[in-house]
Amino acid sequence: MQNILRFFYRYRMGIALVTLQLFGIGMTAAQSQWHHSKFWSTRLSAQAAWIANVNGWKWYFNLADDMELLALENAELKSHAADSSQTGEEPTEWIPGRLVFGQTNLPHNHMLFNKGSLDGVKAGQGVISTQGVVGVVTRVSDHYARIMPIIDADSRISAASMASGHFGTVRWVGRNAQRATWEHVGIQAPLQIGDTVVSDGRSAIFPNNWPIGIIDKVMVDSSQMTQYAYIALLHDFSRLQPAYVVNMPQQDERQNLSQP
Amino acid sequence: MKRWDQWFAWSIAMLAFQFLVLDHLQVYGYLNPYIYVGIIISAPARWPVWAHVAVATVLGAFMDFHYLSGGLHLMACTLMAAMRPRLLGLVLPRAEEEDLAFGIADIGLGKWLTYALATIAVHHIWLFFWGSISLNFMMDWLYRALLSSLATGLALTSLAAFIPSQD
Repeated sequence: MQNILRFFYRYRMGIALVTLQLFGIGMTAAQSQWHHSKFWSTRLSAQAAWIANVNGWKWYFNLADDMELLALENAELKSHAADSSQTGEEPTEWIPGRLVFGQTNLPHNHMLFNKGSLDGVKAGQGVISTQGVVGVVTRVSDHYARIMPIIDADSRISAASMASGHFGTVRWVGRNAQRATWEHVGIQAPLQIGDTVVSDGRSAIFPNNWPIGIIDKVMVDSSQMTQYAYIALLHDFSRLQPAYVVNMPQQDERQNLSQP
Repeated sequence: MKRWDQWFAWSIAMLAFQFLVLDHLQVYGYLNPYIYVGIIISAPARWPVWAHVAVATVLGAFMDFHYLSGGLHLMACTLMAAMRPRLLGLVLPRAEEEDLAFGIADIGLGKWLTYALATIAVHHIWLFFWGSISLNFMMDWLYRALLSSLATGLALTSLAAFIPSQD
């Protein structure tokens, strides 16, 4: 108590001055209609600015939930877009999720996807991000799936030239996580630097026309009478990001029919 | 001033000059000299801060009563009164301790103008700011405050020139 009194005594002039200023403001606001309205309009503006600020933070913290909702909606839209009755493409189901682990520095890299068998993910299904083809599911647990990305030395992905439709196989030759080769392309294919290499439906793993990479060098393998090209991969494998597992219900049927 | 009776008499004169002459002088709202601030400016130097603030409270409340201005003059007067001893100390150190005289005849026109204009500016800037409460038109109220400060300083200096040396 004594300390409080001592505080007030010590700062008596400052406290008196502040009190007088507040009293003056109050008197001014009470007597002047202009000051009165100015006070309330200023307060209203401050409130609006504060609420906008708080809402901005709320939206920021809700982004993860919003993104998940958008991914679900996007998957549904993709499924509708690939509806065979509308487009002539094979029916495709999209399972949204997120890449939660990835490697780029080994000859045999793998990635983890945060959806598993309980979500309908099965081995052999393709994985696609918004940037392009990622890889193929190799194993699944209840809640996770292991993916063999394009940047695995054992990976082989069927791909075609978007410009001409000629097909070949994308294979990773190691070292650079942003570069792969596209091999066994017919010698007659008019490959051009800058052409986009996309997925094709031969393997029934990926839907047609999902981008894989851009041709930056074309070579001829004269011993096999084929061409091969170096491509710059479009998917950034060094970044964990949302992705989709592609479920093509007619995959098994096609594979059975393809077997000799 | 050193003597309170002299100060009181001059205060009455300044109020009369304010009410009878200066209140009728207005140049499109840009020139509002308030010579009554001289009452605080010329108060005896030995007075403690609380005495300045007490006088300023009464004076400011009276001016607000006269001008129907709520509490604007009260705010400006009390702020100026609280700062006055420090501002006087800047041009005349030990004025409070030794009760030094600080009229134009005692300290010279230069020091007097520095002290008076600085004190007047504190009052006018605060008064005009709260009068317009707007930072959007900052240059406008600042311009008005500084112009009126010069007018008040000129009028007050003219009046103070008649005050004889106190030493």
